[in-house]
Amino acid sequence: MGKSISVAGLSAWYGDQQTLQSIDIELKANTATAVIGPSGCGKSTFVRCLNRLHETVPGARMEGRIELEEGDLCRMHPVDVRRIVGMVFQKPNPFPTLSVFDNIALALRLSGVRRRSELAERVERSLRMAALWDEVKDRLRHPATALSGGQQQRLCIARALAVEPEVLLMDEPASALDPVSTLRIEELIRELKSRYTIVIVTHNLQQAIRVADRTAFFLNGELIEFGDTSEVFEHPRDRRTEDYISGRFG
Amino acid sequence: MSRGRASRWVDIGFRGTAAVCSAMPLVLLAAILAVVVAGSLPSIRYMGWQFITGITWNLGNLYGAISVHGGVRAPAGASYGALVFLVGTLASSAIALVIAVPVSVLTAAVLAYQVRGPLQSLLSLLVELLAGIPSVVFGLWGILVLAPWVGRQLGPGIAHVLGWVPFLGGAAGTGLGLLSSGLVLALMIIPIITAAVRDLLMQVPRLYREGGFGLGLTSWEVLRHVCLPIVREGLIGAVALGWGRAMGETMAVLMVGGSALNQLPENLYSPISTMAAVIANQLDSALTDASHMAVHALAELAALLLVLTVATNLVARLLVNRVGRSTTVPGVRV
Repeated sequence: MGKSISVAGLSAWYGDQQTLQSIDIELKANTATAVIGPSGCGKSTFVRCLNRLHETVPGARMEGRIELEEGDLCRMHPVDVRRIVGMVFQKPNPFPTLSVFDNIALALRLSGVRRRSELAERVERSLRMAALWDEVKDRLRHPATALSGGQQQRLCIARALAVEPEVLLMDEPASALDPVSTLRIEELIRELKSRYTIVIVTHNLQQAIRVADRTAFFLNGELIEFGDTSEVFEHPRDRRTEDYISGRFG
Repeated sequence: MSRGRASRWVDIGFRGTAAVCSAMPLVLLAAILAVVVAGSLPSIRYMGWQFITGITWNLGNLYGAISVHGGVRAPAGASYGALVFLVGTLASSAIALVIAVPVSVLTAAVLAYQVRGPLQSLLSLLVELLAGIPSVVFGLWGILVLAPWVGRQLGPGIAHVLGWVPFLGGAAGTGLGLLSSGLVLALMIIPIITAAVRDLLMQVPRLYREGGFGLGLTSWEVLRHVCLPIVREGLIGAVALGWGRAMGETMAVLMVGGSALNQLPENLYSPISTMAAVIANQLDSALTDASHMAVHALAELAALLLVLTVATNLVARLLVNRVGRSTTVPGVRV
């Protein structure tokens, strides 16, 4: 089951430049939260803080509290954090030297799953959850890069689900995909949110409306507005939100 | 027009010079190859396969009668068995690789991923400076510092702990020998391999590394299971590059190798000679051989070394280039 995350006073920097200004936000369990805002508003940085990926960029740092049931993510070992908080990236990035099967099995093997039958079973389950099994079940030993872009992205989702996270971060997961593949990913997000807490960064406002229960609007590193998606889009409280969603900037 | 005519001549001159210059590498390679091969023919006829299976390197009685054997003239008692030098070359360069490859890969990973900005430039510069140290300086340091340390501390230490492993037991002697040669060669090839691997690792798109991190892989696991497989061919190329350099290196191993003759190394601390070192060491005496057979034998040694180093370099080049083309990974729109 997904878990809720409570973020308090989260700030982030790249070198001297502050990209997040003391964010406070509650992400509810088993909901999909869309993070929207113009380019450079800090929305990617925000999700990258949630799994401590931000700090892997040389010169980047963050502070604040990110509370999960397990405790403050900022005080845990990043490797443990990323097992709980999975991530799917903007561009499909399956490991190019590995097969479809091994892309998913790698992290499982490294976390101690040794039995072939268990590996095979968990790979199949992940692929089914990512709605990819039927398309690749005869090609498990083929290189992952032989799949189409949309299939590669669903493979990346399967890979993230295989380690059984509680939270799934998605950083513009469909922005590099064609419309049909995009719809499949959105369908998947709607299915997955019953089991995972999902945070999805998107440029596409229609996509936010289609998949997200709640929406957060970021501008210049600040959280401007956060509420139910329908509220944010139909009755924005802040003028800047209204300007953005009505296409006046961004 | 006069200017037009003059510039036409200049152009012809330029093209002629450029053609000659650009042909130089090929001509030189062909010439050197021709010289060593032609030079080794009498020795090949004299020794046959025993050149690479024999261990006795004896110039014979240079002041006595000249005997005829296999249709060629050589001093009485002369025997040119290069196996000792072949083994010395392969063993010392293998030890160098065993030490240098892990060190280089880890250093390269630090340079490519862990440090940035001025520190990255500074560390990279230091590694490249190491490559610029003349080999005779390495040799001198090897004689004065490394070999005594190997003889007194490292050698006895390894023999004490791992003495039950074949080749690792035995007396460390003066320290001049196989282990010291391997260590000096390792130091000399670490900068070469490090620089090549660093460049390879920096070509790995950050996207793939983040994919690994995002799954909860550690930095080491990302390096081992994501980055290194992506640059695998280039990595093999970089190792081959270092290997070629280690086999061809002359001065430093001549100084710390212990100049073995007519005996194969018994253990890690035995004196050795490499092919390159023997050529440098023996040429002077070989020139006094009136039958010239000793020089022919050295030429054959040179030909053998040339074949080995050219082959490893060629393989290295092919592999490095192949990775250069394939890092724009197929199927992914990055």
